Amino acid sequence: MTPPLANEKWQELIQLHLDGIANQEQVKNLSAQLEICFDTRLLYLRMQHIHSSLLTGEFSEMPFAPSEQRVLQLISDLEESKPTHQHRRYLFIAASTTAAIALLLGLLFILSSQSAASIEVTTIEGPVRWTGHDGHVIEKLNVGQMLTGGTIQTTAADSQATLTFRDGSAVSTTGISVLSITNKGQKLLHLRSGILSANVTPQRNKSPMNVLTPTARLEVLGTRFDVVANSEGAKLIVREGVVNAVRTSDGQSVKVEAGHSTIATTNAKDSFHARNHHETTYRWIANLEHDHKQGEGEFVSAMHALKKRIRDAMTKGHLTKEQIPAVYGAQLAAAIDADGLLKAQPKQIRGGESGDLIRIASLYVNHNQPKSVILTQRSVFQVRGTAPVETVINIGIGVFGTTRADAARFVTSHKVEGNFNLEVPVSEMQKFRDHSDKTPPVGMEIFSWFCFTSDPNCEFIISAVSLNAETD
Amino acid sequence: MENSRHDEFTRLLIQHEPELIRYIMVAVPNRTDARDIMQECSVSLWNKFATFDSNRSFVPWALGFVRIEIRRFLRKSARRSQLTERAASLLLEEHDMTGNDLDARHLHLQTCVSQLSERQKQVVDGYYRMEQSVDELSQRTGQTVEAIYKSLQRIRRVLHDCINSRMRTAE
Repeated sequence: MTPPLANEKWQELIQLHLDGIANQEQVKNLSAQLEICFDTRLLYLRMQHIHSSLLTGEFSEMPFAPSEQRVLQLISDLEESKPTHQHRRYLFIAASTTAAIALLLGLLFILSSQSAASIEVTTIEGPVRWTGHDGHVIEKLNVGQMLTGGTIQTTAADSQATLTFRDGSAVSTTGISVLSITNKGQKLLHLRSGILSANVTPQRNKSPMNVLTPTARLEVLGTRFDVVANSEGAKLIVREGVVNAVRTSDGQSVKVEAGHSTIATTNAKDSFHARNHHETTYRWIANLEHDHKQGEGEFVSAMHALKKRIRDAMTKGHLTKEQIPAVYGAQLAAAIDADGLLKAQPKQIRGGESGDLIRIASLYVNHNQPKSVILTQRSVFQVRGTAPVETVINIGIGVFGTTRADAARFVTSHKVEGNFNLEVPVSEMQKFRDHSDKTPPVGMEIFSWFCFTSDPNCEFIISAVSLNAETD
Repeated sequence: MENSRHDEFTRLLIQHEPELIRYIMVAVPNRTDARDIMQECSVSLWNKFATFDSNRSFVPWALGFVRIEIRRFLRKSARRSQLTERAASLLLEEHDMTGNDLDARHLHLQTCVSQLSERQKQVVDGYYRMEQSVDELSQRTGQTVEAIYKSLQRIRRVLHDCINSRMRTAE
């Protein structure tokens, strides 16, 4: 693991290497570090990606000099190397040499394929797609089928697939998940999204299995664990053994032992520690200032909001300067200690066009607290706020499973206008975009809360959110 | 028939050359070296194009040849300041695995480039688009060679931070 401070040193060295001005000693050090440290490799790939993308010019505001000219020149050069009868003797030698090389490469390929083809499909349920690293797609996998590296996609809520490596380690994906696998001496799994359960036999010390998610990397030497991941976070629950989790955003790492879990979000300011998986709470009061997600809500202090209200009233002629103490004096005094407000912000939904603009306010739930917040049958959210015009707001949550790996979003809708104070029982929430499943998120751990309207012009405000918890 | 294969090869190479060069540059970041490798590789690709199945994707097929040429180059130039074969091989493997991450970052790069200062854009334009050497840039701008290198490094760091920040705020 690379400590955060060391990142800067490696970044500098990577930059020198990209510009071709690193000396031999520096490149040797960089190579040694790249050979042992995944984080440095990731940093290298990201810096290098910027360097090569700028060069090949696909990003550019102005059209770069096209590479076509160069390629056409290349083609022209190649044409000159086309076989002719005058070169028959040369060709015979060249062909023999090529055949020998091809044979050698073929043998190498067969050998490497045999060693790589060490992943066996051991269970399959529901629709599952496999795409090999060579681009070959298999829509129908069978139990007993042998695979090399590639990507497995379980494409329905009831899909499940288990893959077993030659050393007995097994990984399962369930629900809608995407998992890429490379197995060349060291197992490297990339859980792009979804759920992964793994039972890993002891690995060689220097070659731990690495599980990469969008927000974390997990180093596994031999253990049983579940991971749920999406673009905003990854939750790791360790059942047996120990897993070393490294948060991608800042390189911070934490050892997670059996019976413990951790959540790595994209936000490096969030606490990142292992917590006893069984220590839970049923209540939560949002701290709008600290819990809101960047880009999905703008925090405004109570004093700031009140001053704005006073300014607006004066502009409209409803209030004079002299009237302020009498009308707002008490509120101004109270505002010093009062909580602030969260103004919903417009957001383009990914992949959407201009019509897919929503207005949203989102919060992380208990992200810096040692205990997980668990939902019960009688959990109720209390949501206070203001909507300037009538609108339907969708109140939702992101949850992880506690007894098994699972992740989902649940949502419910309410019509609001003006000041509102809603009581939203968890039992009325349904799976987002899957209304066929009526099971409420009872027993699940909540990690995010959100509220949005499809009317981007409705500048609604959230003033308080809490979860009133009653155990069953 | 041969003409149509030739046209197909030309089309595919033009279409995918930037992607192949970017891949080479994972292991060999120097643009001249990367182009030399691409040149060598193109010869192999052309010689073997008869075996290419047009129903399959070109890039995965071509990358096999690219990897061979990269290995050959690294062995040949082991005494120069190049990464070790092991480090390069790990990077290439993980480049394949982190494709989605890099694709997502690519989407933000354009926005981040547009946010650079005019002076920074000029450096990017000269070094990357016009492919001027650092010496040429130094003469053109009156800055020292060291200052140009520092400027390039600062620009890439700014872009890296900008992409990270946009990745964090994107859903």
